Amino acid sequence: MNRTPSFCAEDLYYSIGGVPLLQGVSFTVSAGESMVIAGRSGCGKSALLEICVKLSLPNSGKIYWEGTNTDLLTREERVAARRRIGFIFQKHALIHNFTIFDNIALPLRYHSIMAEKEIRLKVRHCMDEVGLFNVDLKFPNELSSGQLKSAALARALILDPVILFADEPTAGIDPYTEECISKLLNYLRTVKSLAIVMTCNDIQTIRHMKSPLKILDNGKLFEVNKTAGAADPHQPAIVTTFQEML
Amino acid sequence: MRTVYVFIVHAGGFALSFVKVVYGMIGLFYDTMIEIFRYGKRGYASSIKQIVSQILFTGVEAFWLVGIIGLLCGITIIIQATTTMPKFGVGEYFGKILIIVVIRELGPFFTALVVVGRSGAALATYIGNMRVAKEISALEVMGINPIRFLVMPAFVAMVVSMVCLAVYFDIIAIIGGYFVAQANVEIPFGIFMSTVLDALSAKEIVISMAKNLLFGSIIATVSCYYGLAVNNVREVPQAALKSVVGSMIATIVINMIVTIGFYA
Repeated sequence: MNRTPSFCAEDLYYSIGGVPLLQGVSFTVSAGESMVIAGRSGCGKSALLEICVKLSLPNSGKIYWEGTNTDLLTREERVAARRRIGFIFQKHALIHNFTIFDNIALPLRYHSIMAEKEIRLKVRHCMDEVGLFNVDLKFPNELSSGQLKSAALARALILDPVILFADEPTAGIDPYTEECISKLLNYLRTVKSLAIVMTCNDIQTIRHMKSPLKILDNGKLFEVNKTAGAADPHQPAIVTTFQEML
Repeated sequence: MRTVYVFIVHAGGFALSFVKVVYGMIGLFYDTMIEIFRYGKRGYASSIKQIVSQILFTGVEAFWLVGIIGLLCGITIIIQATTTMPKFGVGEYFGKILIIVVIRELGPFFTALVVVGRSGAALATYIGNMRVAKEISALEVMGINPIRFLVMPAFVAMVVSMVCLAVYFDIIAIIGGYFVAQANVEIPFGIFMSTVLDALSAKEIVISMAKNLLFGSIIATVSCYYGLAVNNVREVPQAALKSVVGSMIATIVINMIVTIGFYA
């Protein structure tokens, strides 16, 4: 069966201040699949994810959301399409003067999809799913980094997206919460056919995710073959490093 | 020759950046107007909530400050009038003086200064911090239009607060003026008020309201523009500063244009 990929990036080129970050990056993720991108700090992983959701524009290349070329979308169509995309920022990006509950409920309330009673039930359910308890009325500055990551995950999932982009969703959190988040992401991928693209340098999470691992180095994506024997002498050292660690 | 060349280059650069900023502000104002008049349920409830909280901050929480300034202005104006004008028959002019000075000029202008210094700077900082924390990017990625969610409510709240505060300023200034007038020339409240109301024409009210609307719109647009233009954390205090300076200059210029246009 020929499935339309949930997400496709085609030959992306991007540079900041003359420094090339992406040089011909292409990848595809279908429903029920996930992909982990690792790489050195500052190599352009976050920039790549922001380009994927059109928060930044590439110098050249194409982005497809569920088979649709995003360059051809009108403003209204893009807004509608974004409701089917979840995004977790590296530093949570929760609205600082909204309570955690209001932050998670915000997309539902704004898009006026449900009645307030239904919204409350859905937010409650989503918070339970990510393990957030007794924080409804707290503000983001009152939460630990693990709780903030969970809240950001809940907000990204509240609209039942078909694609989830997560920028280091488990960075700086305890191993227990990390395992919970990884399990939840695996569950969403396998049971709800969510397509996931995440950046991550945490070896534990990479192991838990059971996904293809790609390394972004010098603007190019390299596949890490976890079962490969001897290291390829032509591949970058960082790929070998990850291969050995896995 | 080189000095002239450098001067021309700098002047050109300054003019270009000024035009760019003004163009950006006009664009933001246009987008805000579109969002105000766009029909649709999307974001309506969120916008109302934002408008109410902004009115609480910009309008309600500034009542005491505007009240004190208004009271002191009214007192000062009548003291100046009673000390510089002849005592005999001065009461007849109190109304006219208060209308000319307070409702035409000081009411809108002083209220605008309070709103600029208090709420304009806070708004620019608030939006600037949201930009730095990627909260605005988060809104965009959730399909939430930042203009509809942030700028439009701030704009509406600023305009409503500005009008209400200016009317409140006028009333408090007139009451303050009355107490001083009463102490100096023992003028009955009824007569004092009748001189005020006689001097107050529909034209005065319309022009004063138009000034308040314009000032509110300008302060909101300038503050939001500088807030949205922030790229990193170091630019946040600069955004607050630029919003105060820009709003003040724009307010003074608009005030002068309206005064020349209608009274000169």
